[in-house]
Amino acid sequence: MTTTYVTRTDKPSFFGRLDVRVKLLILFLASTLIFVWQNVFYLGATLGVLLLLVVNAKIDLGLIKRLFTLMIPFLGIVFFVQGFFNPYGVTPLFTVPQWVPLIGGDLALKWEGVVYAGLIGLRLFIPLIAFPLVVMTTDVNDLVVGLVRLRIPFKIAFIFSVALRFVPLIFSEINSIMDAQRLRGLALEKMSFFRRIPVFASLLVPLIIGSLMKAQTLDVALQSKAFSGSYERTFYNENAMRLKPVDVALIILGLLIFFGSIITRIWLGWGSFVA
Amino acid sequence: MTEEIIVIKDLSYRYERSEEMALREINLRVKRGEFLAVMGPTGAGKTTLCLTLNGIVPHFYGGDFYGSVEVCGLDSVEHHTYELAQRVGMVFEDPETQLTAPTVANEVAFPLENVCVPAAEMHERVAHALETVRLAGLDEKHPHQLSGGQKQRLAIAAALALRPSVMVLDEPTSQLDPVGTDEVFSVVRDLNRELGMTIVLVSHASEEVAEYADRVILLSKGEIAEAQTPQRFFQGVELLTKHELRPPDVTSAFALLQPNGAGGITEYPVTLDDAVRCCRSLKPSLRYRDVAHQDGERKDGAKTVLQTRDLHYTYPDGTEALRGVTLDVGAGEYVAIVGQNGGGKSTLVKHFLHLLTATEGEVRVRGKNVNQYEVSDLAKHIGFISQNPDNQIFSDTVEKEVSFALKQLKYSKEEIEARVTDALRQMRLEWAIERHPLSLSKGDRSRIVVAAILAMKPEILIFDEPTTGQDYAGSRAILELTQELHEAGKTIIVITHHLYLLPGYAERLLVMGKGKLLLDTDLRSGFYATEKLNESFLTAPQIVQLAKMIQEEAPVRLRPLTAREFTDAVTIKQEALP
Repeated sequence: MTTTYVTRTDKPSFFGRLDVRVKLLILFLASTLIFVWQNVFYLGATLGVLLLLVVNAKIDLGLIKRLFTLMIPFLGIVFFVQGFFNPYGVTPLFTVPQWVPLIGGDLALKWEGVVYAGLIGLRLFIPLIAFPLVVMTTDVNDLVVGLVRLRIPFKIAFIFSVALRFVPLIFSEINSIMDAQRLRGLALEKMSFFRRIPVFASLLVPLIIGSLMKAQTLDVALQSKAFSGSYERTFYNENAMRLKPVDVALIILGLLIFFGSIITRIWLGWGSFVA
Repeated sequence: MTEEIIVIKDLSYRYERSEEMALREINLRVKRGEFLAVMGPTGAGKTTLCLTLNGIVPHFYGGDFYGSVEVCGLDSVEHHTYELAQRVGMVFEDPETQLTAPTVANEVAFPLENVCVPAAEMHERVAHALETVRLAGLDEKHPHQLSGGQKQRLAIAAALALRPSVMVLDEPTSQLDPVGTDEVFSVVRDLNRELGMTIVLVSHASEEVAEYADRVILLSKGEIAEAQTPQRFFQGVELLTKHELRPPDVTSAFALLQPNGAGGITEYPVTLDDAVRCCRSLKPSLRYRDVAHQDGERKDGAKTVLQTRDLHYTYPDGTEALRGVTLDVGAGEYVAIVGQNGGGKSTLVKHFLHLLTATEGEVRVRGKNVNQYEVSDLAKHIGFISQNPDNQIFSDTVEKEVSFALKQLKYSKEEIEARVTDALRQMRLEWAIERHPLSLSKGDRSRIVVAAILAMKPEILIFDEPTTGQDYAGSRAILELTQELHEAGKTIIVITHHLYLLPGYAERLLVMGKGKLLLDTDLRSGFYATEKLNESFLTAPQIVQLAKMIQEEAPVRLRPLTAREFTDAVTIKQEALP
């Protein structure tokens, strides 16, 4: 089912028990280190660590596989464009034969371009894995409390949590609209990718109207429960606030990696592009 | 205490960008501890009236607000919703959009967090609220894992945690099966009788209103058309019919049985117990007739169009939704599938449409294994109308909507035009051909969906809960439509838990529970198989219950399904009439 991306896994694990602030830090690292480093080995190692965490958190590996499959067409384009046209490209791997009109003999697939394509792939894939890793192993409440303790306004944290809750609802809505279209003779399975685009576009109208109506009903329901979005509030899950030694250690380690990576990149050039 | 807890004076209200007044000149006083029911057709202003009680109207919606609303001494314009919400608890119709937290306990704690209740006290109050609605022990569950009745009780608990003086419930049971409805009503009754809480309840459920309310007001076009005790209120059968409301079955039966209060009884009974008592006191003058009720004949030997053999289905999360269903439906039948929410009704019909593929067993449509069809091919034979019309509308004019399928199926331009005109005429929607579907009323939107399906000329039509969220008039209109289609030779399948609507329409009854087919019989026998119905958490219509309760006093077998049939079988002796 499409909703797996945000469904919680309830299996206990080392990673699952970490404080939400540690997890948010990991998410932060996953989305910043990819820009600090330009080196496939560094990023490859980062991905390796994330995958170890995924295995530890007992997240369904099928999900990772599906994410990868989804990215294949995109990676294909990146591979082609970077491989042939990237300015870093020096070492030809394969040159288009002479007899091909216009580009023959001139255009070549180059090693450095291929490596750069790999780098882009890693930059996409790392946050794409980190996000479900954190969301699927964290109670939404803890996430909200964690965000609030990080001085993020409650209103924003709350919107975030409602969005997470609504994603599965919206997916089920998309499914039911698409079912309705198929039941009116729309043979999606026989259509090419490009012919499907207008079909997906037509989903948007009922979807947006439905979501707006839901959002309004939700707003009324929340206000009826004395919700005003004020920062002043108490928390039911207060215990979720205490850091264990292992959390503290990991936060220190995370911060060291973050600042360390920037310093060593600037002064020592660690993590620059190599091919 | 008899102090007035709600005082509404000359209240009129108009929504922003609306021409019509939603409420006109409302004057209403509700005493502390009173149970007030609000009835009325769709669009009468019932929800708007509820929303004035915690200030959502006008604070949230804006618009023109005249007169005053005072709740617990607080004026609703001067005080913000944040304050009013701590005195007025609200429960809405749709359980999905009012539950926001990831666990049951957090759901109840949410309003307490908003008003800064300290954590220790919060834990106490959450536990207490959950106990009151009988959900104790489910604290850590995800609200989505609860049944419909449980979800609504959870919504009540969340409102309860703030210890309000007034509880407002806006059609809390209209999406629930009979057992969920009972659960909710019994909790609401306890709040009222044991905790003395003031209740304002909007509902179409006449039988329950008659049973529990102290007073009923009838809203019509934004005005209070009537305010009475339920006993008096439901006597006005004419007034109710005029406003498209349905009196309790027993009241209709007695109104037919003894028009003008004949037989020495000055008032018709409004509850089942009253009706039984009435029958007992009338006993000497009651006459019974053995009636052979006219039922639509089951066409044996008709070609089988839908078939399942030992059908099993397990959802990816491990839920066993179907556990061995074997079934044949013949061409031209009218079949009702009933059963509790989550009993497997929708899962079953989705197999005929190939939206789901059997885990085990076989499904055949028109003699061919369903796996050999594409969903889009099946669409030519089976039309499926699901509950929410808005998930089935995706074009920007009615014409495009109705021709959508025909274009997909590549009919010629002339053919498309002819079929669109035809389908719209059948649904009496010719006038709307140029309109945007979403600019029409909910009833008309449902009809557009039906028109779009009819344009494909399918021989089988499946309606999934078509009457949920509709008022009585709306429900009747839909069933009339199914009847017309049935008479035109179509095979009709209706999924519902509104049993009282089925007599006169459905011929065959399938009762589903826990993924199994519990009963497959004609409608009359099905309604009288009360144990089987109970097994699937359904209750027979009131008339059936009444007939069963007075059966031992009758010399003949009583089998009525409707008030009319009841009076065919039971009459009052002429001499007893003045």
